[in-house]
Amino acid sequence: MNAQFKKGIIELCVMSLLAEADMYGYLIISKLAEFIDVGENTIYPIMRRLTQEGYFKTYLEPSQEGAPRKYYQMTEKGFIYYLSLREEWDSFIGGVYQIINQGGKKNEEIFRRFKERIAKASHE
Amino acid sequence: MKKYLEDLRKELQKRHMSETEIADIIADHEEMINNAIEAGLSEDELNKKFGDPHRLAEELAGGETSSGVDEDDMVLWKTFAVTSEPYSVEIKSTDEEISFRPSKDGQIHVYYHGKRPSDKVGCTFEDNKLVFTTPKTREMFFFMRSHGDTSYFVFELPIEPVVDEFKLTNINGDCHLNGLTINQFVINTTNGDISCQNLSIDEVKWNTVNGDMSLSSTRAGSILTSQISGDMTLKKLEVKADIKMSSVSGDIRVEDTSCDELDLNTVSGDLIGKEFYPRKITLRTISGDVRIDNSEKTEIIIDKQRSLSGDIRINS
Repeated sequence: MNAQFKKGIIELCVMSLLAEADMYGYLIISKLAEFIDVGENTIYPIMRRLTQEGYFKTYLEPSQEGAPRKYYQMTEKGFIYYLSLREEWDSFIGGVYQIINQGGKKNEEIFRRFKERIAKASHE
Repeated sequence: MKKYLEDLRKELQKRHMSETEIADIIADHEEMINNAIEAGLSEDELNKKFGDPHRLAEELAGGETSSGVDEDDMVLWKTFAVTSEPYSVEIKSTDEEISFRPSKDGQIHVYYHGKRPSDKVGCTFEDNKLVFTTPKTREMFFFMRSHGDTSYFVFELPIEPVVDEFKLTNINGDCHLNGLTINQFVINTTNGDISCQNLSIDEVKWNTVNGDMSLSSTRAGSILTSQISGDMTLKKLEVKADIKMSSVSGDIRVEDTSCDELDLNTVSGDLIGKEFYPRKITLRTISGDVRIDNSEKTEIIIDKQRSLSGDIRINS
């Protein structure tokens, strides 16, 4: 997949998680990996950039297992940014679905119509 | 895990990242890897999750390696062995988009994207000099050239030995440089945009007509630029000696930068500075303004040699 496009989507995913709860780095990475094929070396630079841009704050919290963990918390500025990203994504992906689903969602149907057209074209 | 962190540190140091930033990134990774081990991940799973430190460092160092071209789609084209002597680089391109970045193994590697370069594209390494030339695009109406005609190259260059002289002449294509050490850097462009990050350079000479220039997180001896209408951005620079800039109508933005003397020669271009601490400013302008917002108050000597309506304002 186009690298820039993928980064944009991961950014939206990270923001979505943190809009709901504060999380530490490894938790964010494993939550995302549950659903999409993406590694730490893609996610971490995005988190770091978003933090530098003031969309997240960080704080340390002791953990039961041992060493304290660095939690990421969304700021108000981050939330506003998240809303704008979300809106952009919804309108974009909504448009994409409208285009690709114009002929219905059933692949067999699309295939049947296509076959008919090809047959017709070769007949002429 | 120890090895991963060590490799990551080395990769970050190579890209001239600051020690505090490196320490922060390493601490984050130590924590995340520990968390992963606590969660019971095997060695294989760990490797898969954390991947290659080289790519991570690349991404962290600014990582604008390409205009959306997936790294996996790059094809290795040429490899040259480099001796221990400083080497030179000469690039003469027309429409190509090119990235330059450090090599992992001390050799020069050249990658391309898409169609294999034709025989007309020259790429040689002789007498310690890398020469890359591309043919002039055939005379064609502009609208007949599709965007897909732009080709993309990546050059991986050794950091040790250093690049003695780097000459970059580009007409339309964009170029990105990241993490290199260069003695003499000479850039001439017409329309292409150039962005440089994490460099260490003795002397920069930069000429452009319309292209935008951006230079960030870089240590330089001295900088000399000349632009007609392109804009220039300087960010996070440590410049030992002088910055000399001349611009007709292009604007200049300077942030988090220090230098000895700023010598500015403009017609109508403005300079806007933020946390910009030169020892002295010499201004020659028709109508260009200089405005600098600093949080610290320092003594800046101002020498307004010739100005019709241009003004210098420093707020601190």
